[in-house]
Amino acid sequence: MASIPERLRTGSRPIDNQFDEAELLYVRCLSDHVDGGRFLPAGIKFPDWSTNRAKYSEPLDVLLPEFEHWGIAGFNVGAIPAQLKIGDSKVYAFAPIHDPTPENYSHTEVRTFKDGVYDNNLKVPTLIKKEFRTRLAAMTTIIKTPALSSLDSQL
Amino acid sequence: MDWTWTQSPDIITNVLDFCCKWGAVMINIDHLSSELTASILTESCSEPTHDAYLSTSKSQPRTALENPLSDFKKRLQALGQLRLNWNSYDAEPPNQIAVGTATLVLELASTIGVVPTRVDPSAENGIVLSFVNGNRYSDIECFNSGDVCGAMHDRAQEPVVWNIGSEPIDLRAALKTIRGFIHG
Repeated sequence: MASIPERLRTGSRPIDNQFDEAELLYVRCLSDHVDGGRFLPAGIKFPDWSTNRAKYSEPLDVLLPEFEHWGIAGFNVGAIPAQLKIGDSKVYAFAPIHDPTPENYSHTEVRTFKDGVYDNNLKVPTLIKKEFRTRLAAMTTIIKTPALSSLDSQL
Repeated sequence: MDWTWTQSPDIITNVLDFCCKWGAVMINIDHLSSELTASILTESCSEPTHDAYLSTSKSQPRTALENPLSDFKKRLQALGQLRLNWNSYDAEPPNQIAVGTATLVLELASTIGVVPTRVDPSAENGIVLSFVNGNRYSDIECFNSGDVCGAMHDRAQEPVVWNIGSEPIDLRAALKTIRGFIHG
């Protein structure tokens, strides 16, 4: 198990919710969710998706401390759909929120807001999720190809 | 009768429509690329219920192209054994509802002439059957909740997503839509 570098520790640093549209957010991934160079929508989680932001981390940091053989996917903040509404549904908005943990200052969640309100128990309509994941996956690139599948990771 | 050939999507669509209309014949289609393999099995166009379909499908004739389907079915069973948090992002393993629906999709796909490119677990708890042809991507997602959704995207236009339903008639309609999109 790799150790956490000091540069990632939060310490006394403040929350920084200023995101540039071009800033990359990184996630780790399994081969189940990579087809050629394409990241598949099936790999995207709702309603809160943990990522590492590029402003305060390196891509490989997302594999710490014990995910060495996993892959890395990344997308620009600007690729996150700002909001979605299907039919008569409420308006659901999406945004990155800087959410540092003691050992990972870069930790950022892509959160979902309903009518402008955040609730971590929010139930999001299936079709809203589906469209969000389809759109974002199409804008996501593979930075490191995974050498591990979900079934491998169970061993 | 057992043919293998490479043809245009239009011809394949016509053959599929013919088979659907007249029931009968057994045809293998190796179409466009190694990623897309289609198999049409003998069957009528009637729509059995979910349970009736699964109970009768075992006796249907099989072609050489059954092997990918067989592999996918084995994979489905294995994916059903995943542990909680298998993706390190708190995902639940696919449950029997999702595995059952995905199995039905596979069975129906073999009769529609569009075989998934891949079958994978979903970070949103369930199974996703993906159909990929170049920039054209489509999937059917079978959630643990029993919901079933479809998506189509070609990276050039707005994605299309829709609720499918879990009955054979719903899944068959979705597969035909996907076949037209992927082969179009």
